[in-house]
Amino acid sequence: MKRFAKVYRLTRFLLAATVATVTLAVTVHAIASVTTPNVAAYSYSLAPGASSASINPVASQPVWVVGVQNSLGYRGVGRVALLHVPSSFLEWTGIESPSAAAITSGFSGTAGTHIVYLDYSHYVDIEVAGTDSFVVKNSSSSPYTATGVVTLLW
Amino acid sequence: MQALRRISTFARLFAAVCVTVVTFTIMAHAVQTVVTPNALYVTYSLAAGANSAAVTPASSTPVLVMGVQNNTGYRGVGEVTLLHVPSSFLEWTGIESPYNAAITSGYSGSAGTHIVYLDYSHLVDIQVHTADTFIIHNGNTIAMSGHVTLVW
Repeated sequence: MKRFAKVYRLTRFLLAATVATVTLAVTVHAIASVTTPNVAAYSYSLAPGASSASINPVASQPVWVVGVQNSLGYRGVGRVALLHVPSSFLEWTGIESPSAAAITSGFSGTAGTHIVYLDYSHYVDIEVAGTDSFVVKNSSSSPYTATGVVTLLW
Repeated sequence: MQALRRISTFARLFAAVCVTVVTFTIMAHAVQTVVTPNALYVTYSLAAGANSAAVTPASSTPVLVMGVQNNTGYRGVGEVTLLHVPSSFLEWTGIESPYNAAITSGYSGSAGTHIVYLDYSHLVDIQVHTADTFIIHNGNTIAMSGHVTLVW
């Protein structure tokens, strides 16, 4: 009888612990504080065919990637929201630069995969560099040196 | 004659004041300052069918809302820019997560209205909760976790 009481008490304790855990888990959902976002800005100046150094976005967090192309006659702006899954791939969704602005989305860890165009004529784009990074690329058919800025915000 | 001169002086003064006020009003429209933006980070870990706590975005200013889903097999990313009209509705425009990325836009103050998907299979989304808040909803049959960031 005493043993039964002990088991009963243990069960109640276990139940209380479960409730506490669930409560804390739910509370965790509500934790949020206003702070200053992180920003990283990269300038590029690329000859036709050249690529920038690799850029590694923060992992497992939403990252806003916005870029402009400043070369006269080819100016443009494009942006994506991006997820970096470490050692696996980059995934993104966003809008290409004019003139043919359209949705760009996908996921890839393969170098050269197009992410988003930054210029009006779609010569300059952000491309996957590997599973963990991307580059800005001025395509080899481009008639100009591409200069601009890419900003990451997270 | 002196009274007439006084009226004339007053009229000129009044006109000058009017010009000054109009000038300042126009100048005020052009005032802009560089400030540090604000960010709010929300981490979610939701059981099947569960909702997050309500999130209240800043009102009457553009808010960038972007989120990721980190579970293997369901990873994704979605974003909207959002307007919170206090006590009335939320309004948004943005792009759904892959797969099937498409424009999402609308306005609503009704609970359950879809705003944007965060995962590859379109099972986790941000939904209108009230006229002033939104939640993250897990429509999957397994627990899902990720992050939502607000910047304004």
